[in-house]
Amino acid sequence: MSEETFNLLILIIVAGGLATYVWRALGVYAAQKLNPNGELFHWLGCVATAIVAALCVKLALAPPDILKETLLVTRLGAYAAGIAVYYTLSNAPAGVAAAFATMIAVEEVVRPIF
Amino acid sequence: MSAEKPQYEWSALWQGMTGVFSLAGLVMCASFLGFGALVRGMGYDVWPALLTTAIIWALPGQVILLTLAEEGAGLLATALAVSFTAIRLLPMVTLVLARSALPGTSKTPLYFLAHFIAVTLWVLTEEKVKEMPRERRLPWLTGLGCCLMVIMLGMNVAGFYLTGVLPPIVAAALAFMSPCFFFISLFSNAQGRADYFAIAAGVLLLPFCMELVPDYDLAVAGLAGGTLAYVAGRSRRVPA
Repeated sequence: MSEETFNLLILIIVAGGLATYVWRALGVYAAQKLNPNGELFHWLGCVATAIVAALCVKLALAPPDILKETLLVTRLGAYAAGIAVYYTLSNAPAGVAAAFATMIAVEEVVRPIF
Repeated sequence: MSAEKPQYEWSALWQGMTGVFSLAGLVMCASFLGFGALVRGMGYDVWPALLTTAIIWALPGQVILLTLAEEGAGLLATALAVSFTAIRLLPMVTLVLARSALPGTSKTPLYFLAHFIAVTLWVLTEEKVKEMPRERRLPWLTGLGCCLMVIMLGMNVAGFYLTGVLPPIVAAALAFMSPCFFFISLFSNAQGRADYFAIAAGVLLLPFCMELVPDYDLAVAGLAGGTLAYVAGRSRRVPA
């Protein structure tokens, strides 16, 4: 096993598996003891929401290789279309489908025109 | 003679597998297909996709981990960012167990089921478990969770290899599906003003954090943005 593979393996187990399972185990404990509607969890929920929002922006601004060929405006447009359709139809899966279609349509139809 | 001890009916384990045929299951399949494509698009092999699915079992955390690992961020920064997104699992586990656990029985099955609990299992619990006798609920959910995981591992493999044969733009759109799903979910799960503030704060702070604290950008944007949103939401809820 190469050192790189080994490091990734450890990272996935420790920073991924353990860091995630801690909260599930606490959830089992909380089922008997803690109040999941309390202020602490409200704050934690806000932090988690902000992290996921930041992740979405990060994937648009500094995309992984597979998305490098697409324009920034396409990626942001896909988000915008997804949100617009979600709010119009009150249906999250329809929003995801619209985002998917928008990305292809903008890159294949709109972009060649310019 | 003492009263009979409560016991789970483990035969319900098999019936739980039928729960995968649902809208929630279908949406999940699309997301994990997209994740397989995304992992390949980041330049990884297929195994990190499978391993993160098996041991994290929460897509935002999986994407964060592999995004940060690709940049060479440290163990602590990665653990912090992943862990914060996993906090939302705590109340889900608590709620699912409140519906399914049998008081006075061993805790071991609870800690096992907890690993499979994420948003889909929580939605399906609310949808399907209520009419079931209580001793069948936990086995039913455990069977469903295991079955979902096997299917999603298959979806990861399919997404990973499809990316090689699909036109590049379709592969790219497939890979971008999970981020789109996360972003839309933020809005569909938002329950109050503080949640919308948190979305806005995370979005607006991230570009600055990428410049100022590149290794800890997600953790800092999340902690600062989330705390600001919490305070702002609170001052609105409780006027002085």
